[in-house]
Order: sequence, then C-alpha cells, then structure tokens
Amino acid sequence: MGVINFIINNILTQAGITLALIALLGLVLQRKSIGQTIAGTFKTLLGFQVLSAGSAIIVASLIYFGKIFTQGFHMQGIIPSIEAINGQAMNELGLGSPIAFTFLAIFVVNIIIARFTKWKYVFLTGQAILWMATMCTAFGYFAGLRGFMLVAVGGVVGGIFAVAMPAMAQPIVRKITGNNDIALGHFCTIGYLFEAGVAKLVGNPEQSVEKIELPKAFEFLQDTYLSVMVIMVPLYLITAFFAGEEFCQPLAGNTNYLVHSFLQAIQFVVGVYVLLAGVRLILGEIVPAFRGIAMKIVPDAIPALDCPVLFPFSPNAVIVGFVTTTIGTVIAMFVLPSFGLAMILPGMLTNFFAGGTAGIFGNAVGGKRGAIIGGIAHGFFITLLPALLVTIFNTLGFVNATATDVDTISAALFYAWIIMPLMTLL
Amino acid sequence: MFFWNNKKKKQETPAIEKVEVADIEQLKEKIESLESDLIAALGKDRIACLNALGSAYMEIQDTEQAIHYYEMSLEEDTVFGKACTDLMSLYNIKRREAAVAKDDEQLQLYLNKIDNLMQTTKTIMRKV
Repeated sequence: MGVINFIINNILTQAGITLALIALLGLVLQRKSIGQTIAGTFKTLLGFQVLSAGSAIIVASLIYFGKIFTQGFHMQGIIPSIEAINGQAMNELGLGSPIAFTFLAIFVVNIIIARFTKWKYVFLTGQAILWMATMCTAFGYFAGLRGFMLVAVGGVVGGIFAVAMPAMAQPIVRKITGNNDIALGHFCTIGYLFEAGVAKLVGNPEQSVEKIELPKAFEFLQDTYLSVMVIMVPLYLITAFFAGEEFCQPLAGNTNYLVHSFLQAIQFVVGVYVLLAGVRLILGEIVPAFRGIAMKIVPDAIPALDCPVLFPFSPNAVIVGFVTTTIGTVIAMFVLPSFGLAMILPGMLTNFFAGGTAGIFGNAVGGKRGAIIGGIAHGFFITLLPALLVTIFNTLGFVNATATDVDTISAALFYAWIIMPLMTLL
Repeated sequence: MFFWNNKKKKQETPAIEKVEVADIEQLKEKIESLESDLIAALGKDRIACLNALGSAYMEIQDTEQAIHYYEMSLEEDTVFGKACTDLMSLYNIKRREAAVAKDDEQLQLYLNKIDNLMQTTKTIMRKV
C-alpha cells in the first residue's frame, strides 16, 4: 500500500514523469530498441522541463503587461495565446499530469470511435490535441471533476471533438480538395463553418478569389517568432507609453521604461519559442508512436491533418482570409469592451493560420464576396468566444491570457454551461 | 445503430480511378516521350515535364514513380501546383497501403513525408 501511495503521490502527479511514461508506453508498443526507448522517454521528460521554463518566462512577461495595460487603459487587456494557457495550466496550476492523461485518453477515444463507427477520422495534429486536453482538463477541474472522472470526461469530450470537427468540415473540404482522401484536423473548425455560413448567405461561389491578382509578400510572417514579435513589440511599447513613465519606471529599475517594455515584449516571444520547443520535444516522441498505432488499428482511416494541408488548393483565399480576419479581430478588440467584456488583443498567428483557412472555406462557399465579408465576421467571432472565457480563466488563476482555437473554447464552454450546472445537481 | 460500421459496405473509393487498358498503352507511350524530353528540358519546360510525368504515372497507378517525379518537381521549383496537391494524395495512398500491410517502417515514412509536405506548404504560403 505504501508503494502504491508513493507512486500515486510522487510519480503520477509529476507531469513530466507522466508524459515520459506515456512516451515509454508508445515506444514499447512500437517494439523500439532499448536504446531508442530510453532516449525517447528521457527526451519527453526533458521536453516537459523546457516547456516549464518557457511558461515561466511567458508568465513573468504577462504579469508585467497586465499591470501596465490596466494602468494605461483602465481595463483588462488579454493576450490570446493557447501556448500561454497550456504552459500556465501544466505548471503554475499543477494540472500537468491530468492534462497528459487526458491527451492520451482523447487519442484512445478517437481511435475507438474511428474503429467502430462510420466516422473514420483520426486526428493527427498532436499539438491541437494537447491544446484540447489542456482546455478540457482546466475546465473539468473548474467544474469540480477530479481524478479518474476528470480524465475520462476530458477524453470523451475531446475524443468526440477530434472526430466531429473533421466530419463537420468534410463536405466543404471535399469541395476544396476534390476528393475524400484527407480531412482537416485543426481545432478552429467551428470558426471555419461560421465563416462558410456567412459566406453562403452573402456570396457567390462562382466568383472565386483565385481568379484575381493579389498583392504579394508577407515576409514578416516567414518566421513564426518574428511574426509574434511584430505585434508584441508595438503592443508593449504603446501600452507602456500610455501607462506613463511614473508608473513604469519602478518596474524597470535602472533601465529606461520604454527599453524595459521593449525587452519584456521580446521576453514574451522568447517564452513562446522555448515553450514550443518543449512541446515539439514532447510530441516528437509521443505522436509518431500513437499515430502509427492508430493507423494500424484503423487502416481505412481518413487522416485529419493540420490546416496547411488546404493552402495549396486556394492560396489567394488564405491571404484574403488572413487580412479580413485581422480586420475583424481589430473591430472586435474595440467593440467588445463596450459590452462589458475584456479587450482581446489580436493574435497574428491565429489570424494567419485560422484566418487563412477560414478564407479558403469562405471562398469555396461564397467566392470573393463571401471570403471578404465572412472573413471579417470570422475575425469578430474568434475574438468574441475567448472573451466569454476571461472571467473563468481569471477565477482559475490564469494570468492575462485566453485561449485561441475556437473548438477548444467551445469544449470549455460546454463544460462551463452544461457540465458544471449538472455537477451542481449531483 | 445507424452509425455503426456497415460491414457489407466496401472500403472508400480509391483516390485514383481505374484507367482503360487502351488508355494505359497511350499513357505509357506518352511517358516514354516525356522521359526522353526530360533529358534536354530546362527551366520551366523541365518542371512542366516532371509534372506531366508525375500525372501520367499517377493515372496508370504507378504511385512510386509518380511520387518520384512530383518530388523532383517540388524540389526544383517549390511552388503551389499539381505536384503539391497530388503528392498529398499519393502519400496518403502509400500510407494506407502500409497500414493495411502493418508495415510500421513504411507507415512512419509516409506519415513523415505528409508532415514535411505540410511544412513545405507553410513555407510556400509565406513566400506568396
């Protein structure tokens, strides 16, 4: 009994060890050599420690940003960053282990559904599953679930999303790709369908955006971290300027307050860089193992792949989607506070990947008019949903950040609006 | 229940439609001619030739050769086009074959090729 208690209290509660054990399981099931198994297991453990370090950097920067934003604009300014949410949930809130188990449970439920039902979608975007596991665990915890039930409910909710989202998008994906070979595995699908719905109402699919010449060059997006920096640096500098020297200088010590603010913005980008390096280390071992298993259990699976899979089919629509979604997020940033909601700052990476993919959906259903009007509506929509979560995030102890991918937000709202009231009845 | 597997239902229609024997002969002649053209072709003509070879091999269901020529095309001219979209379908066919054969090495190979193709797609998109 003592040994079991020791394992439960000192090993399975350590997120890094839990993740390493999951990787170990995958590697053993794949019959990897002893050397590869040991290396993969320790790489995963290392990945979690890197992720934790990245999270600490992000949190320090966000605490600073929260202070100056409140002082400068007399309201809460929220940065949409699913990476920041994941890092904080896994480390500062101590939910790392249940998130790791939920990640595994989502994968298992997805395989079971794909194996035994007509919906053959196997979600292969590991990073997106990790974000979904984070949101299901954080909000399940908020709803009062603990231990096995927290993981089981998260696995079922996340697993259903992992099949339902590609399935719901598939009629339009088929229209875009011309076949049923691949599906879309990106947890922003509700946003894509929202854009498609708006585009259908206002547009004409005959007038495709691919028939027109668009201005070129988005070099600043060439590098993920450069694109985050392009937004964060002006954001921090403007906010520090409005907060004023008197308020900011004590936070900056001997450095000039604007230079300090600039460096804090860079710290945020560094935090995202480190955290994602950790995520890549973790998923680099776990995902290949489990997707190999999934594909063998469901050989006729339709792989649900990350959003760039659609980019070659409609590149102009990606640019239109990115620009119009950004316009929508900026409109929402100013409009939502007048309804008592927090100010959600635009997230350029989400705008590029989710906005670009939404543009493809809008164009497929409603042509250029649909892509433009639908894109602006999409931008507003993907800002509104995270704004609804801010109060709960604050209650849970998250610092100045909210989630981005709308499907994970929808899962969180499902917990907040359905599971939590049910829990109070029990 | 309605959503459970219908065992009588056959598997998904394959991505590549069957081609008539006469058409196959014609395509083989076309391939021969394209392969001899390829030796001297340069620049855009060479890319067009590689894509035509990829497409022709795909039609006669020689996925390995189709992949070979499309990969060459994409390596020499990394742009959106038929090479990009057809390669995704071809990798997926090979992935499915490996899964049915339970060949883990091939399965991982084609899953990794799909990953790399998506990475290429991201890079191309950012350069548009």
